[in-house]
Amino acid sequence: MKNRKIYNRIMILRKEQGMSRAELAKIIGVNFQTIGYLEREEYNPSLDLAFRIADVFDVPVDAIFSSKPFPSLADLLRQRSKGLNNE
Amino acid sequence: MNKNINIITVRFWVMLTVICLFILITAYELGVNLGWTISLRIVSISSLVLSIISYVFGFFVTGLWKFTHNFDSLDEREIQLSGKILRLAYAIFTIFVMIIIYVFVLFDIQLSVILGAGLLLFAHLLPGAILAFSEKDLRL
Repeated sequence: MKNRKIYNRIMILRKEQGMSRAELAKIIGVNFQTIGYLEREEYNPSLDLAFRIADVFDVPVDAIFSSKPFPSLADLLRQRSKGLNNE
Repeated sequence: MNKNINIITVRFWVMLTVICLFILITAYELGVNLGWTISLRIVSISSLVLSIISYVFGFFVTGLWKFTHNFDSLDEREIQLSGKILRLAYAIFTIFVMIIIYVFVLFDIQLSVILGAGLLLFAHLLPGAILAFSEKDLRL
């Protein structure tokens, strides 16, 4: 069975926290290359690893991982400003 | 275990180990069946020395040996990758041994202890060799 692609926001969250790949890898107990694979969405993490990542950033798992592509930051900002204008 | 070693260097040492191992076995078989000449002795000894050196640099220094033999130090992606590589190595090794057995039976050649030991070592080297040649970036 071929795995479907799981999209994630690990890179954005990691950069937001000013964390290097090696630092994140050390915290969640994986090789730092695995972080690269995760960020490039070339590897789907196990549920355990997904929860460990979510714990590091203190956000729910579904805020980091999704089976559908996440909207870009620009799209989110556009939607938000449209919503504010409508109000 | 973050070793930043050039993949070309890793591939060179791995290739050298495998080639020297085959030269060593071939030289031994020729020596036993056709008689030991000085050149055969030199080839055998130099390939033995080279295979040991390249084995240390290609498999131990780079961490390739650990990757295919010590699963406790691997994360889940690496375990998944090594599982895939071990399956491929098993398939290649099985076909390789079957060909050798057929050739030896066909030409009525006896299997020697050195060949057996060489094949055993090859079985352990093959997963690491596949890993070195299938991965673009190896930082084990």
